[in-house]
Amino acid sequence: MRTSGTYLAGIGAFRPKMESVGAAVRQGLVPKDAADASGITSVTVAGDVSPAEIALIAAQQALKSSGLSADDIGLLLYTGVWHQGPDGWGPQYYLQRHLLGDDLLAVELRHGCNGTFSALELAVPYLRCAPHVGGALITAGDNFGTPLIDRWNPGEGLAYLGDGAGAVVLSTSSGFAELLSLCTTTFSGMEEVHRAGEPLFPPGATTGTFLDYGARAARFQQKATEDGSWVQCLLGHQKHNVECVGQALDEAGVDARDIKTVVIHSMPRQAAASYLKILGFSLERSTWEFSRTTGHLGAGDHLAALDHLVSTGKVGPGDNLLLCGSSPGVTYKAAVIRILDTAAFRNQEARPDGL
Amino acid sequence: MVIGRTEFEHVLARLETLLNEVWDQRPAGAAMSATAPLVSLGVDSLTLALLLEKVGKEFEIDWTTDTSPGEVISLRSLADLVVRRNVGGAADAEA
Repeated sequence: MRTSGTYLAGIGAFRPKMESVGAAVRQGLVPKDAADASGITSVTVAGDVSPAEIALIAAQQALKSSGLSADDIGLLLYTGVWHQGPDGWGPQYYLQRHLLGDDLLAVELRHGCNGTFSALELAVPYLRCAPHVGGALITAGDNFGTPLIDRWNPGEGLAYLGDGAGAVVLSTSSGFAELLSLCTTTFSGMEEVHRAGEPLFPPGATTGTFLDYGARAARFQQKATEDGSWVQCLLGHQKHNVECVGQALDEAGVDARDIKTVVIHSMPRQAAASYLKILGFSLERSTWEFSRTTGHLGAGDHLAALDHLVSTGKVGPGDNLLLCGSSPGVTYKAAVIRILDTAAFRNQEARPDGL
Repeated sequence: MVIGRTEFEHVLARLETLLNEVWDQRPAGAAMSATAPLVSLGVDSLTLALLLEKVGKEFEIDWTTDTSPGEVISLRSLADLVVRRNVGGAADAEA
């Protein structure tokens, strides 16, 4: 999707206190060799604060930095990957009540770790079809400090899980960056990889079943090896990644050589290096150094990293950034943005000092 | 007396070189068993995909048609596949 004329007007992030991986090793939560191999140095831990509360903090920051008012926001898309609060309740309404008010469309969007991309993808045409709307607010927030998931055992290829929130305001008038393109592909042939060995019904969350992506992936791999489809899965995964990123670059009219930084999900070092190498980039050109300090923030990785880049002056006017990732589906996302002006964001970086 | 390496040994050595090229974070001093499943050595799926791509290009393997169940597990099984294809290709050429 060609999206020029759409702008990132404001951005915010909430990063709670960091907990070192070394401490987790000393507590026996993580084997030392696995921790060393991962390269992840810390994760952010929110304690007992709910995702909606930290999403609100990030949203307040994003709205303030956008220069828009709550009344200007006509669309709220609230994303997250883990449970957000009481079942039957919508966390987006918490943000409406405490920040935006009632006169807008507010929807919770569940699209795994790529939820932020999907929210952007839906917000762009919404804004174009509703010219009276000044902006759309997108949030991503999670707290993995709950039963039924282990932040220190997320599964192969995944970084330890960190808590946090990010928010961005999208506008068609102006902003600190222009969204040039946003693309999606899906490889549904690997749909089973994130559920292998578990019944479709009743849902595991209703039966108190632990979420173990590693075990599911191992079962899928075993089955795919036995039926001879494993190689096709691996190469299909790679092909979809490459095609999605290639399309986003093409539609943005930006050459890969002109990408200053690749903004990625937090991943273990080898997985990140391979992921980037497949796409033609090095680890050094990515936000891995930042994301190794946060852990995997669910759908919030890219917003947290982008907030870090703009608020610390690591990117400036004219820089092109590629944002990309994959999530269950398997879905692949890629977006290209061009930084226009970050002066207003200097020194606003989320401080990892907790609430 | 010098005993030349067999084709299989050449292929196996080349595959290990290719693996080292894609496996940036291979643990220092890690022993490389040719028969061990690559995933058991710590090779993640993305790195394995990179290796397969390189092997496919170098040995002209079309992975959509040239694989059979369970073949891409270890360096040895990969080498077996390459050598078997070469033998098959030579036989086809002679026929």
